Amino acid sequence: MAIDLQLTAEVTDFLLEEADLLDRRDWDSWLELYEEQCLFWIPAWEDDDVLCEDPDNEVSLIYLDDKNRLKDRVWRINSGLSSSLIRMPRMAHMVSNVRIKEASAERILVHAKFQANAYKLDEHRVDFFFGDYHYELLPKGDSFSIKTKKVIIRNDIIPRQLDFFSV
Amino acid sequence: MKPEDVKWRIIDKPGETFKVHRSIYTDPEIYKAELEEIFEGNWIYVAHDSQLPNANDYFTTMVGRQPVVISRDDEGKLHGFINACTHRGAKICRKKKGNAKNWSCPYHGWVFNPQGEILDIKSLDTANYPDGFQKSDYNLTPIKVDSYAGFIFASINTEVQELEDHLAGAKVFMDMFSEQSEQGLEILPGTSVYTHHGNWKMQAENGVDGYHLDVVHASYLTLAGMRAKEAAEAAGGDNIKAIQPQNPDTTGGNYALGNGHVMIWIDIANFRDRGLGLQYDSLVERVGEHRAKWMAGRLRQVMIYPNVILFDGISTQMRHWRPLSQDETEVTVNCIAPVGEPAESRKRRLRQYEDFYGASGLATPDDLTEFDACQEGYYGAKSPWQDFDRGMKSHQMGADDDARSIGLEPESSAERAADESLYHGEYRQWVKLLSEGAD
Repeated sequence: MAIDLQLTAEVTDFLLEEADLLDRRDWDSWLELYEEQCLFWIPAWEDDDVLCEDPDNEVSLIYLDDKNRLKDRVWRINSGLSSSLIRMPRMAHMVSNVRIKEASAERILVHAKFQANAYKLDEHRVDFFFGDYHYELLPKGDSFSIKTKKVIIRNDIIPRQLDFFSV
Repeated sequence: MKPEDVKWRIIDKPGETFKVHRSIYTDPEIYKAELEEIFEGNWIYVAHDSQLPNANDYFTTMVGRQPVVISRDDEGKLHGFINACTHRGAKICRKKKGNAKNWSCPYHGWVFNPQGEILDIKSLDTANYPDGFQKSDYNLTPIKVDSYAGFIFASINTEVQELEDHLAGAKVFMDMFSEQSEQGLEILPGTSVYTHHGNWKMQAENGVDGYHLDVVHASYLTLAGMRAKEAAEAAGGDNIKAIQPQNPDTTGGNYALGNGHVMIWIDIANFRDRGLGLQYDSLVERVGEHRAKWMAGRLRQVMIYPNVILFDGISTQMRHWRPLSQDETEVTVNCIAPVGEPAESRKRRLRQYEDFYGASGLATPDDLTEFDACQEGYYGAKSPWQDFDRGMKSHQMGADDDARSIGLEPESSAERAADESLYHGEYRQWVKLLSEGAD
């Protein structure tokens, strides 16, 4: 398959921008990347190699099928009412292996790998999640918007907390 | 550990005060005694029937420090063994779960069946074992396994009392939980495991702590209110419908159920938004109005000592834990649901489960943060005592009217979910087990 270098470069830059907004905790700009009718999904694992792919019958770690539910999580950080979010971890997201799986005028399907490193101030420890991003992007002006972000976490024992900013 | 090294750490003066010394959360000697007498001397929740439904299914887990395998033989009977080859000790069943007619040890090839009997020793004819060698001496080491209402428990201590005696008053609520469906309950696919800093006993306290709800979960409760308003204004689709329990400081109640088991209950304002609430009318027809109210309209969180809580409120969850050290705990959570429930209820149940529970939800990380903060605070040895006196004046021994109405004979009753007097039942069992051992 011929590789569209221009599109791959534009998509990569978009993903790196999202990662940077998360690391800089610019939640409002991060939210702007998402469609109103979006899906943010982290499936749970059923067994060593079996991922839960049926969210209406199987458990997800996070399943938010409406931008308002993403806004809820941002609101929770800003509210000061959640003790787990008062001392936020210092994060650095690494995004790589960006590949366009399908591209049309309507949508672009993208796979990428990530490692999201966290330094936790309360616990004086470093944790990280790593795995895969599966995006459905929509063309929007000279950039994109996120219709779907599915995150497959491969190290799924969770040290205390997993939220949208952790992956 | 000698009884006199344990007993001074609990001050139990009924009607006056109930105090625990914070060294119980930090002392490595206490932790060692807990592993021996509580986690390896008593019954421990390990799995639900639906996780090994078929003949020759097995499920591996830990009881205290010890690896175990739970199996179902071809007649449906449950067995349990130390998951270590009787030859050189290698773990035999390596995967979390599976199905096999026999188990071959990957190290030297000894073969066992799901009843634990040794079937084959490789090259036995050339082994030159001494004259007293008996193959049957090498069957797997059994542990005790039994189930009640579909919930499977195991004990390393084969002399432990019968499971039904151990469960005491908790059985009333286990029955109520499993009666949600005439077809029984099932663990839904998707297990989550999380770890936290903090002694395991905080898991056994906090899941039945009504008092922390509106403080630790203020962000969740505020969001629940905001979403209800949003839905009422029809501005957007709230597909989750966050559950709103009534005020635990003034309503609900709690019970000590015997043998350390305890529970809290609180009425739920919008219970018809729950998975079972969507089926409320047919539930009333099946079990009657009073029982239906308990099953669908009341949040119930039942802690079966020492390692599991049945949650039926915000959604339905099985949460069990094991200590990793006096300072660290590992928790395993599953969504449990009625077999064959309508698709709309199943979906609602899952979304509410994910919304609140688990280390990726909107509530549990805040609990875990408080456990961490408490564990840090417990090392402040200059301030060593804490009391569980809230509600002591209205606390009563035996049953109240609500208990009698469901055939429950608890050790004690309290008239508010936020009362702390239920912990007396927990810590009386703790003292008993550490100073006398399991029955």
